[in-house]
Amino acid sequence: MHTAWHRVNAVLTLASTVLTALFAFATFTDSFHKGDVYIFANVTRMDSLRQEPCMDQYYSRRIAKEVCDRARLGFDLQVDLHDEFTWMTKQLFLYVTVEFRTRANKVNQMVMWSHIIEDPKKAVLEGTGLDERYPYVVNDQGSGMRGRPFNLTVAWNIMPLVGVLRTRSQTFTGFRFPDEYTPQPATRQFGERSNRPAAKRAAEAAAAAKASAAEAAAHDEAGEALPMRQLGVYDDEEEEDDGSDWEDSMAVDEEEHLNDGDGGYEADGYTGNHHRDEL
Amino acid sequence: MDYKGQHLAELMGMIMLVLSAIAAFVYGYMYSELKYTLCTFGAGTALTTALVVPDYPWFRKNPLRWQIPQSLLNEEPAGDNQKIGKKPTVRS
Repeated sequence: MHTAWHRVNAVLTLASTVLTALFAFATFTDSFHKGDVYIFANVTRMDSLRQEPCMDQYYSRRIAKEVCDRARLGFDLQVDLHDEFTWMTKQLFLYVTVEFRTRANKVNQMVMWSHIIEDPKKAVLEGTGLDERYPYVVNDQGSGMRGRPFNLTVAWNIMPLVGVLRTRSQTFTGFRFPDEYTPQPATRQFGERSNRPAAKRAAEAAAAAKASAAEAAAHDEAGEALPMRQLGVYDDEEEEDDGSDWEDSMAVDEEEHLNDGDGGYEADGYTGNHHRDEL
Repeated sequence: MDYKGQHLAELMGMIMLVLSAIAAFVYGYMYSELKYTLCTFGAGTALTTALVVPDYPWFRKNPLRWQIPQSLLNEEPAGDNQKIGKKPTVRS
């Protein structure tokens, strides 16, 4: 302390130690905070449960030897998380998981959707419109999904500015996968190989085209817009239910849409790879 | 700066920093903004540095008492050396 530089060194070192202690204390007091949150999640539609080839790699062969169950569902979410924000919160990472149990695996968990909330003013989500978007896909390793009950868990990571990451969640139970597979549509799925002879396939394709053309004509006469299925895009308006009973949406009429609606890309639930299963 | 001054400087630094940390926590907690905490503590650190580091007169209240050099005591006052006879100044 006999030189000015000595004193500068001493003061600044002590300041950094005191700053560390200050933030440690601040984080510690913040860990007791538990916000008053409102979460509600519901599965509003269950489009299909099918056995489909599950390919791990993008460049897999067209004929996959493995099949796995794949369910397509839509859910809705209402969230009020503004109370979780404190002076120590940087952001919240909100995500929705589907969990179920099969005979093969005790826990199957898939993240359906996630969202980052950086501001308490943006922490209220209502009418997220998640059930109107493309269906969310749930996979199984194998074929054990029929009739299984599953949970929808809404979880959020609270990321502090300084401190330990915390996770809180709320689980909603009472949902079930369908007991049987969705009946396959009569028309060929896009990219699906068929064992039937070429002539029969051509006849069926022609019949489907004629039927859909007739429907298009009917729609045009009624003055409605061209249905989306003609463009090969997933038809949202087929789901006319009020969202309360998803078993009704399992009824499939003959002219099923050609495309599965996911645009050719799906996130594989457990490997996290993106692959194209029509190729 | 003398020894007592150095001790005072260290004590002052410690107390001021801890006080500014407490003030920073309270201020930030009241207004729920971490920026207030950081700014308050930064200002406290700057104030501490300004008050402790330079050589202020209050750090020099206990100067060391040096003995008068023996050589100066024994010499006869001569005409050519004007400095003999003056008291040696002490600087610490």
